[in-house]
Amino acid sequence: MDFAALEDIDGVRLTWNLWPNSKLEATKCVIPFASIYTPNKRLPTMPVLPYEPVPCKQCTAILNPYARVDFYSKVWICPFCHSRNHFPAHYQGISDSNMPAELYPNYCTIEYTLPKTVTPHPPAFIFLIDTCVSEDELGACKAAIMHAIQTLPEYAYVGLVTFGTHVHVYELGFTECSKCFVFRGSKEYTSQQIIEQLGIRGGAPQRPGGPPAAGQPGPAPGALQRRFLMPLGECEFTLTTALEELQKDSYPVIATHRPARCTGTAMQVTSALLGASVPIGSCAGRILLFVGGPCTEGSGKVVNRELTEEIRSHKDLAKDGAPHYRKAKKFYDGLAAELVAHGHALDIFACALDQVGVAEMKDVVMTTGGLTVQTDTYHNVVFRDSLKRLFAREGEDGFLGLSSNAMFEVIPSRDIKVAGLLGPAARVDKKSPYVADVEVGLGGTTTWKLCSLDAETSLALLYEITAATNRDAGDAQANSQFFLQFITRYLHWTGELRCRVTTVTRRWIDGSQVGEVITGFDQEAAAVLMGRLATHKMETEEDFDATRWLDRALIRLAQRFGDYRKDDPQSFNLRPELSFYPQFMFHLRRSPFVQVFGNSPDETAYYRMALFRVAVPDAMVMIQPQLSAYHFNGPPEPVLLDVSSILPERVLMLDAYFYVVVFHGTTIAQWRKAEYHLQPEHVAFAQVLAAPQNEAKEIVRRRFPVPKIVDCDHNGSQARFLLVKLNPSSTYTSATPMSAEVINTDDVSLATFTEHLKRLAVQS
Amino acid sequence: MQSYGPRPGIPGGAPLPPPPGSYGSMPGFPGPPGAPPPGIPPPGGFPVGVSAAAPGQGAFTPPPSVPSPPGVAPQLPPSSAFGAMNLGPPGVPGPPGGPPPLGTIPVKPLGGQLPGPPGMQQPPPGMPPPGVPPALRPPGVLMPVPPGPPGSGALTSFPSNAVPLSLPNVSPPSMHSGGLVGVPPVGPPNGLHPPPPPAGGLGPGMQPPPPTPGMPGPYGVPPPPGVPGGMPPPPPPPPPGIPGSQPGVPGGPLPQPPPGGFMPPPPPGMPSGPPPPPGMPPLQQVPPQRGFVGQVQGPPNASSRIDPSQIPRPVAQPPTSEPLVFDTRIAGGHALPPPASSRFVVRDRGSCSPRYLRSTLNHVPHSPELLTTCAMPLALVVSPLALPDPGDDLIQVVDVTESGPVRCVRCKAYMNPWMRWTNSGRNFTCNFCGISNNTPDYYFCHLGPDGRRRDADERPELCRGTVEYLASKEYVFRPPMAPAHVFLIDVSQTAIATGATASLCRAVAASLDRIQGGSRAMVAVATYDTTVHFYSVRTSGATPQMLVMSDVQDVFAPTSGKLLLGLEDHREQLKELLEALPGMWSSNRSNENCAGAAIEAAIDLLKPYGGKIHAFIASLPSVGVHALKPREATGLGEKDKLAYLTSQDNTLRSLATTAADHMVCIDLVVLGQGYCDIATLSDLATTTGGTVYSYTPYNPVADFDQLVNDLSWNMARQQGLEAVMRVRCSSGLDVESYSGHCYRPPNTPDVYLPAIDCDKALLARIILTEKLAAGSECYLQSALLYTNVAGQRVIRVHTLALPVTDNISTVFKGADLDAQICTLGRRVATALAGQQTLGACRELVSTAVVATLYSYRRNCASSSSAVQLILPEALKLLPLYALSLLKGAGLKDNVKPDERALWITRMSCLPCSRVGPLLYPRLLPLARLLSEAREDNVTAADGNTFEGFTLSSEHLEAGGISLLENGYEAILYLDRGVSGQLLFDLLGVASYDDLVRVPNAVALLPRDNWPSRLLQDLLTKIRLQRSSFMRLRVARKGDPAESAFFNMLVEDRSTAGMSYVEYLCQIHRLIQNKMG
Repeated sequence: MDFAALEDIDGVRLTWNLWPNSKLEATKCVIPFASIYTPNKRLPTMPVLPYEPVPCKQCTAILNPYARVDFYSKVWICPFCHSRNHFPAHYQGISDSNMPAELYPNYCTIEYTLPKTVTPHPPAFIFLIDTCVSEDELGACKAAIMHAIQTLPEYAYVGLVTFGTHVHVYELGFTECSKCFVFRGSKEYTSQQIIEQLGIRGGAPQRPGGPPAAGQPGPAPGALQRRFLMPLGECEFTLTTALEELQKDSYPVIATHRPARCTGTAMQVTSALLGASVPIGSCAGRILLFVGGPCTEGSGKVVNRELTEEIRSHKDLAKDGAPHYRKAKKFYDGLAAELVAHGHALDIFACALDQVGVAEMKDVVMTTGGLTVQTDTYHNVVFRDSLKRLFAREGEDGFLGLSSNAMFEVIPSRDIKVAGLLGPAARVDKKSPYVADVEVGLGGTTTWKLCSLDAETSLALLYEITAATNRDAGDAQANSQFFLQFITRYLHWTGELRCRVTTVTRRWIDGSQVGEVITGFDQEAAAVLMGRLATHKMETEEDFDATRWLDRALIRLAQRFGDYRKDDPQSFNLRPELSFYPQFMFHLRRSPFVQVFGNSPDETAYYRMALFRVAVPDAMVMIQPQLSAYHFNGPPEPVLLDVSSILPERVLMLDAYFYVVVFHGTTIAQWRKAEYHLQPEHVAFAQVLAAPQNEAKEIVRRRFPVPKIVDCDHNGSQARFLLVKLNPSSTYTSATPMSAEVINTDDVSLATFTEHLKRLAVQS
Repeated sequence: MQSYGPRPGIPGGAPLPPPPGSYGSMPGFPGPPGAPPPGIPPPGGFPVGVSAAAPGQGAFTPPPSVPSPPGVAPQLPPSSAFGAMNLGPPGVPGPPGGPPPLGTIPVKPLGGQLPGPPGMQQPPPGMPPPGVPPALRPPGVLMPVPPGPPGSGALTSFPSNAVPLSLPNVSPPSMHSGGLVGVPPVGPPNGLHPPPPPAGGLGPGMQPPPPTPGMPGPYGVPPPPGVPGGMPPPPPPPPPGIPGSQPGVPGGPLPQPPPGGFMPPPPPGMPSGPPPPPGMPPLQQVPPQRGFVGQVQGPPNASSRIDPSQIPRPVAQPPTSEPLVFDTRIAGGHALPPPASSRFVVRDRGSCSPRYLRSTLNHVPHSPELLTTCAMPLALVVSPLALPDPGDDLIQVVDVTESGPVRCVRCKAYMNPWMRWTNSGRNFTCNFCGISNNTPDYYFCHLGPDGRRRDADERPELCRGTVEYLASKEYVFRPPMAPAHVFLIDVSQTAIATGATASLCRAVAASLDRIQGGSRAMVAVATYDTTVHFYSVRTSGATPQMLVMSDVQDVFAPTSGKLLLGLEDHREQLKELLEALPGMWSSNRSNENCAGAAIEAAIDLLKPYGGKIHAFIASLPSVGVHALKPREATGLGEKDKLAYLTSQDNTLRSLATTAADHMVCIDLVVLGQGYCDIATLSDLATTTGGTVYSYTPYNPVADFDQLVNDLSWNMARQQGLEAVMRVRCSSGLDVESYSGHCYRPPNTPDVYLPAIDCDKALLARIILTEKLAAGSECYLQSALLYTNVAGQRVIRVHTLALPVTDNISTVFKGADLDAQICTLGRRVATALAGQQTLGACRELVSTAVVATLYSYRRNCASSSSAVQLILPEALKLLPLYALSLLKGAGLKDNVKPDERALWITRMSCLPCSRVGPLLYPRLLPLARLLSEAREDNVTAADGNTFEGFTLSSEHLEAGGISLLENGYEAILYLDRGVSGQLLFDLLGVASYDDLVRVPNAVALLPRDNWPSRLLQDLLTKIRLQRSSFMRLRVARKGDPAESAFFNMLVEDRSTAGMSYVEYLCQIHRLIQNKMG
């Protein structure tokens, strides 16, 4: 089966496409039954219907092509709960020749435009800027923001909050002079306090009998909310002036101390401000946090100000030696809940050489569906271009398709329960009969909220098969298909309320037929799911050994689905449906998602956030980077992600998702140095050189965050970006170097890994 | 109530007599280029007329372009300005710090305008412009006033005019930090700079001064020969249309006294009392007299038999042109100091000047028993930075930055003339604790045959009672603080509507130029309503950034912005900001304020540096932390527990303590319309060495000048920062407690003074711990470690040696009235604030007086007839002052709580020199002065005529005009029968009835006629003498000022209490009862 092609239709990948129809058999499949769904995937052929969906009165599933329709009696039978539903009155004209679009078999993913109950509010952006950075950095940050603002539509609401020792909330509606409200970074404010002190009552209920905004100066009550957040067209001058005049935090910094930076309090203030300023649920609100260092003051503190105290490392976290970690995490979790309640997202642009506390803030981003960009400096092109892409409009290059305020619901067939969700979403407490006993990730519900989602955002849903082992035949016949329906009601970027319904169906099979079951195995989806699951477990389970857990799963999978004779490793043979999976696992084990050594907690959190957000193909690039070779002998070809792929006369291009390496072999590098490619007689060489560069640019153009391009030569220092990803088939221990390059590592190579797998799989 | 609009007008709808527009649009005047921009409402009517006076600048702002020193007297080169005054050591340049505070006092204060050079040359703003709307002109009064002849300006015999009254202080010039001091007593004529008559002044339209038919006698005399230099030149030509209709009235009849804006300008650098020129403080008895002269015999029971003219009163010094020269020691012994408010110059002969230390008893009783017997307090009034007279010996400065001052190792007393040198000078015995110290090597000097060190006369600390040390490192616990000022301006709707905000912004802007400290001075401006707004000026020169601190429950200073700005670099920006503020907040709708929170935020801001907060409060703080409840007591009866005089908010007290700990001083300026609970708020000022000013009910027209002056004087006066003081006594004596505006942390012997200035005194109560040897001397030494405005850490040491006596008569002979009433006043203040009943506090006064007099009677005059009331000569005025105390705002019935609280705060910090006048004001018979002046051809009161009247309505002359002043305010009382001409000359109204009909408070404007000039001149003199602006109120029938005036006539019987004679009888009766 071509799972990728299927994904292009619905945006759905399943780890297994044939599900054993008994719980017992299901548990033997090792890899969980899961779907990875991209709810906002751009589907060019998908119809958008200008009317409301028709729900099943029993299970609320939406009418779909798999419903059995009795045109005569105008009744449809819900494939999920088998209840009979009458069509609504305006469907009276339907017949088998006059069907609504949602009944067309190929429209299994369809979108409805919901009537507007409230006028949607224009999108709102609050720029939350850290001023505890050098003037140079701040200047670059300001320049990038101002540049980005120019691409914003005039109707978009903007706000400005800066922070250092204190939080400064700019009142953009005040034109007499630059005016900002100040909050102390070291104090814990409640949102109510913040709203009161800002003199806004937007989201909060009016105090009974109280005078409106007791004595606050400012415009009339009706316009109160506009003081801090205003349409860009009205406050552009004030905003740009404020940005231009923005200076480094003037609070004195002792040489032995970090600057006092109250990131947490600032986020809290901003969250409260945004929540109170725009109507909840009908506005795409984003907080753009530009931060250049760790939070050292007040709530959410990551590290103390004294430089003698080092910022926490993975080792500290493992040994519980990070004094602020739990407290900060708790604070940010509370903040996340508030943002989710308002339906607003937090985006982090972390531009610092040191860590800034992304690890602590990770869940705020994850639950609100925000975006994160992490680089070393505001001058970095990765930051600049990523920020620009955030505001790209539809039709432009790099448009992200940011939608917001989504409620995502899944409805499974009988005998399937939903165990949980792994992805950038927040749990919604809603009772549902489809909740599984075992909870994985965000479980306990079948509805989740996505404050923000882009075209990439992908959610991994895990299911539990609860069918009894002994199923009576007739019933089995009736239920040879099972269905999953994903309903996403969201605020489209155009301001419309939309509802996307995706209904997929797969077949139940007898779980004992191992050979048949494995044909439905999607290795890539499985690898991505295992990646998400492993990292999730690493973060939530104490002393979880991800490598061991992945290995065991792999071995068990191999045991169950491999062809072998017991205790004979040589006889081991993997079915083609499974052939790449060990290799994926090999790279996953080595990836920064699992290996924390050499990475800071911030970096790890950053990588994991990306892994949790993207769809299967991109996630696969993260797990197993793609290596292509460019040479004179033909078109570029994918090559093994192995050190042996390095050849002197090749240009290699590695796409590791977060960065793209263009690697020139020794000879090529010499030629390039000699500038042969500039000579007309060596056009071919120039083409070889240009091709990977163009390809890299192409990758950069469509990806968020914008990857960094590393241009390096063999034996150059930057080449490490490539080498670290390669399978060390040739190391300093190898007797006979097989390639031009040797990787000095003690890591096992893929061959050794496979050897062991074979040996362990066949053990009885 | 209309609020400020762009149109100048009086806020709050107070009807302004002449619509400002009518003045401003006068054709004869050049348009006011510097008139306030339309967006900024000028406080009601100030700019009227004034705007024409000072083109190029706001009416009240001193010309920004004028550098400080020339600002004094621009016409004169600075050196001549000072030199001419012969005030200081020759060649002393102007105080480096800032404008010599006094210099700018214009002689003829131009209406409501801060003295500024241009102003002095301009046509007199206060001059009634000719274009008075006819409607306002009293019908039928067309009395032309002779304008000053053009040439008259050239000559002058008003010596005090235009005297730049700045005098370097005692210290050598280099040390001198711009402290102002001193007033030249008599400015030599060359100190004048008569402005050339403005060319335009005698325009074609000018009418020659026609003899006025209706002008009777003296006043009809053509202009007095001498027109003071600063005299307003003749009025500008009348508008074309008017002369025709009003022939002969060029600047003439101003029907209506212009509003207060025309008041004489602030003498920003007024010298303190002592220096005043010829002012003979007449209110004290003559000091040199000794003995029991003042016995007054009064029949015991019949008060009618007391001759009221014979009973003791403060009397004027004989009018001598030379002040009394007072040697602190005569013939090796202590000299009894002259009365505190008299004029004298001090020669420091080893004991310090009585300005600095004044003991209630100049002869200390030798035993505690004797002290008890004499029933007088033993206390020391310490005013370490008091303003010296220009004639005083300069304070010598000793540079000990290397070695540190020489001190006793045990008691830490500083070196003084009474240390005894032994062992050929290798040791010295401390005169305080008696221990023998080794002389440091560098300090060694051989002794002369008389046992004195040979260098005794070269070293100030060995021959002077007052010496100032430049402190060494161990006295500098942190870099000396820069003078930092935070201005907290109320911008709540209430304040905006009453005009307080606009006034404040102007006043602050004006006072910026008075801030001392040069480039070190720092200024922050903040406003508040229900939130606190700080203003941060960015270096870019852009508009300031407003930082709103809205957490009024948990206050902090938004220090993430740059809030304290260097005055030098940001002066213009600050002024622009202050100018913009009223407009920025003009539509503010919040009518509550969070003054408490604002002050706390300002304290937070100043914590790292220390400094001064000027908190301007326009209504009771009702929001945020330290919000206060309105608790204005309903019943003010005598039996009331004066609960409203104690703080209702203990957190404010601890806030004040915190501020004092961080060397932050808080000045409170109340410009309310109603109750502001000064009793509670004043804790902030009294604990931190601050001052409480109250202008309740604030009326910009009447009070603005006073506000500007007070604020400017606050900046310009002699002051010290982050001060620590201690009084040491020789063995046998000990300081029991201190009182005053200071903070004494528990368990420390030192008193903390975040700020100390020349107008404040502390009181150290002394106890006798053991018997002293009669005939010996005991010693008192106050040491004040402070930072001067120039940023130097200095120690000012005053040492006083007092004789010890075992003779109770001697004790009484040496009693010091000023110090004793000062002590008594503070006792009353403490008792009032201590929740005693009003009755108990009154009882306290009489009991104390009776006890003292009884003791005298019993121990020193027992042989006299029992029917005689015998008073000790030194204390013969004690009953009078006690009566004044009883009738004052502190103890009177029916006093508003705020007024009483204000009285308490004043009384608890006043120096001796100001207590007397406050209790027994000076009543000047103006009509007599005027006529004398006329007869003697004197052009201005030269001070010799300062003889006061008895404070009794019997002495008010029919048809007379009296000027009453107590150092805080001045009231001009007009009798019903006052001559119409005089009324017209002074106030521009034809008759008393017309005066009564004037709807608003009547203000006295300078007018171009000699009675007016003379009065203004006199006022200027008195102001200089008191170093206080004392805005003048005109009392007329039915005016609040009238009752205030009569309330101050303490000798009369009134609702406040019995008459002086009755009181004497009562005292006498009580003494007799005691005698048994």
